[in-house]
Amino acid sequence: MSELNRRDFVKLCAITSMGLVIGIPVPGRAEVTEKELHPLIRINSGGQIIIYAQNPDMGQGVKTALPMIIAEELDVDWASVKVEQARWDPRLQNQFSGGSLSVRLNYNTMRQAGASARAMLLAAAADQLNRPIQELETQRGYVVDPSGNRRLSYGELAEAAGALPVPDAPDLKNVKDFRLIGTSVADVDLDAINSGRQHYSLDLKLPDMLYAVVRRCPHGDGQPVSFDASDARTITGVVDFHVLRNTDHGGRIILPNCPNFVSGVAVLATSTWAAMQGAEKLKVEWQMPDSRDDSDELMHRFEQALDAEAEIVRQDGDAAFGDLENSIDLNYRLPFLAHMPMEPMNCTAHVSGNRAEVWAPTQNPPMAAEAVAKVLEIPQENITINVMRAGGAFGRRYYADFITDTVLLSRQFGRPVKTVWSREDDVRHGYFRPASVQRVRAATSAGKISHWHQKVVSHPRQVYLERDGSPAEIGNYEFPAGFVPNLLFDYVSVPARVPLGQWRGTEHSSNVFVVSSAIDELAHKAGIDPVTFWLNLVGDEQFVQVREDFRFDASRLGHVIKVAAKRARWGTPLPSGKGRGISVSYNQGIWVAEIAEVTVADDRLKVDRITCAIDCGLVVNPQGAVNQVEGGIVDGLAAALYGKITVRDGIVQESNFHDYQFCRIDDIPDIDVHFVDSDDSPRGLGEGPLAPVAPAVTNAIFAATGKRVRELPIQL
Amino acid sequence: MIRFTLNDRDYEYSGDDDTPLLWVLRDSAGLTGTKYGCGTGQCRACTVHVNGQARRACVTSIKSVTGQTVTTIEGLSHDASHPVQQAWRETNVAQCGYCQSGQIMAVAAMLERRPAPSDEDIDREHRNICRCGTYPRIRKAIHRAAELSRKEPDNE
Repeated sequence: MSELNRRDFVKLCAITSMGLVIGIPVPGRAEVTEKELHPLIRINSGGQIIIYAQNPDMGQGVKTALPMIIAEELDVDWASVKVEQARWDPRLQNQFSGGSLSVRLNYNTMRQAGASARAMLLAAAADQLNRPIQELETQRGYVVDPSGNRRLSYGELAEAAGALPVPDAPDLKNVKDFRLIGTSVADVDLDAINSGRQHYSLDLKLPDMLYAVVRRCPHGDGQPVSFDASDARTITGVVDFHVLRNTDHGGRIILPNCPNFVSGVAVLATSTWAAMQGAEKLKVEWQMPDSRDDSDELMHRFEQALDAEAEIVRQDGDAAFGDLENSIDLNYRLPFLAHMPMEPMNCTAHVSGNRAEVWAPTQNPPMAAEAVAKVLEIPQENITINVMRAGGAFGRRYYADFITDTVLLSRQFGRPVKTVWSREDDVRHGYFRPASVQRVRAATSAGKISHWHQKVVSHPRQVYLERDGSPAEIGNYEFPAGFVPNLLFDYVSVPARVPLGQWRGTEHSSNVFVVSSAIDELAHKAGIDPVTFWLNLVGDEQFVQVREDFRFDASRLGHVIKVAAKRARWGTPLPSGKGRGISVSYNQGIWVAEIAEVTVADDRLKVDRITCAIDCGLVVNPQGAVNQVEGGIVDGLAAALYGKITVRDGIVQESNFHDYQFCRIDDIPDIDVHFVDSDDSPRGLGEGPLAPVAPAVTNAIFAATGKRVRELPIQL
Repeated sequence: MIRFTLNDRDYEYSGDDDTPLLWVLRDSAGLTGTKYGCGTGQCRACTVHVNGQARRACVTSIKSVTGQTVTTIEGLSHDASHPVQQAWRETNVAQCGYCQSGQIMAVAAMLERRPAPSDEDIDREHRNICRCGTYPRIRKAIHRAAELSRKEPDNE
């Protein structure tokens, strides 16, 4: 065993020895006294502060941002903090990453966690110093008695503080006194990443572990009938085979909105490569389902359904259309989209008796625990979920389908098993952003939109089976609801057996394209500059009551439009062949305006620049926030330029980066991100910046060429 | 038995000689900094150096490196001090970080050939995929690494 190998082995053994007891964060080493003050905070006698990152990190930066919020209220130096990823812990709330909600939902909880521990340390010090608590203060890891010039370190106080009750409503800092929040902090894993030493789930190697590659049914609803392993057995390192039928373990959908694994035949081997080769050489006879959808045919059915009876989502005034001046009646077409996280799907599990330990790059640890409990038929208390830093996720790792097969294999073989998906498995067995066709009929009067009828034809995004009754694809609060006197949102559901799921801003990624495209067309129809048209639409009132329970701050939308226009030098002349386009959105709770500047020459598109003005409330970690916005913009651009999944006969046709492309560096425009100053509580940044990219670019293409693009991906 | 030099040490591999270098590095040598992303040489997350040149380990058979010198991210420097790693740190390039070993290795090899790449050179020659979209900072960090390399001419 090489030196490196031995080190890794020791490290990994340490990980497994964490034990299976739920809810007890990592025990300290024997020589150091370490005390838990909160499920997310431990302090050791040497003064080291260990803060657990509650939510999974998949590149969005919450492993840094959430602990920063705790450290701020705890009043400790960031340099004295060691951040660890929390395992699944049922004591914690909102322990999932999705919907741009990690910071938004947990900001107050994280503040309270830090403030509670600080209050406990103050109380312990008051006792030890025999001083009234009101006369003590904290200073970066110490409790200080200003009158007597005495101080006690948090390390000295931890033992006593940890024995005190956790206060219900600790005092929180004044936002104006923040020292850490609002400063740029490097990602806590940055050095490990740059040296190649960051451990992702795919890098795990447990003693006695088998590698599994599953030959899955090409159609997600099919089943294996029989298999011939004679060729696969010739591969050195192939150990065994096992048929996995989801029908034996709860079916295709095991929990609300959570798919189970796709049925297939697993090849177990002593190395990844042997398992991959074995899976390729396996001959499997499949039983395919009768229902086999085709994406082109589905698009056709969507278009036909534009005339079908629709479910009304929202109706204001009279949206009936006669012959109106400056009206439009347009159809938009949006494709299925895949996630393709850089780290292919994988999971490692060790099931022993009625206990299970899982290492997975999951976005949703509670769902993972529930799914494992369900397929193994064991109590959740017996399950440990180690949340691994994920090599991207984008919604794909929200589900537990990549975990349930692994725990079954580990149980079957009585050994730790790591299941590795090839990139081809990852693309063909995704849960795609729903495709849709949308129709907008709208008109302007006196420079403002008077009528707006938006009809969405799509599938429900709930994994794919029956609708849950609420048309999730267009919410009744969505822009421009509240800003147009005569408005109708309606929806037609077309069922299909294409696996659908969460994407990065699932339905907003479609709807913002439609809304910002149609508004641009209305502006041109009315002969009004698009930025002026947007500002007229947003209006001068600060608040607009969009829904009974939703008062929308329109002034913040107007502000980001103005900031973006100024930074993008909107209205200044451009040479022929170039153009600018604007798009605006309020989704996932943030206010965004984006302006694209493009060049079209010889029918070739080059996106030169994207300016993004954004109001997300308080920015916790400005450097991480810029990364997240730039990344969202690149993802939005990639989807606009390339994103499309094709289904033929129920089988996904794309398979890898050659036929489902992603941007490379030469596609990338200059990106200017500007955050509007705000003391309002922070919102999430994962999804909001993505959706406006496509319409900003297509509106810019119109400005450059006079050609409208109403279907994605863009084709000139 | 296939023998080659791996991060300055002799290494022997006795398995199937068609095995891709990627899986020998990851599963046998325990060097997991080299990443699997596509298996077909497109994403370049698996970029390593063979005799100082960037190579995609997922489409490089282990027998083809017989007697050659292979360097992975773990061998680029002992303490993340290579100019490209320094620039990557200063520029806060990484998001999920999964592709960054490959990015760093590809850039380190490019700068050996082309110590001061222009933006056009970068567009043409740096073809690694970053699914998080860290490209604006990758470009900045490449220029910064070129600058740092010029200041440290003796750096290997």
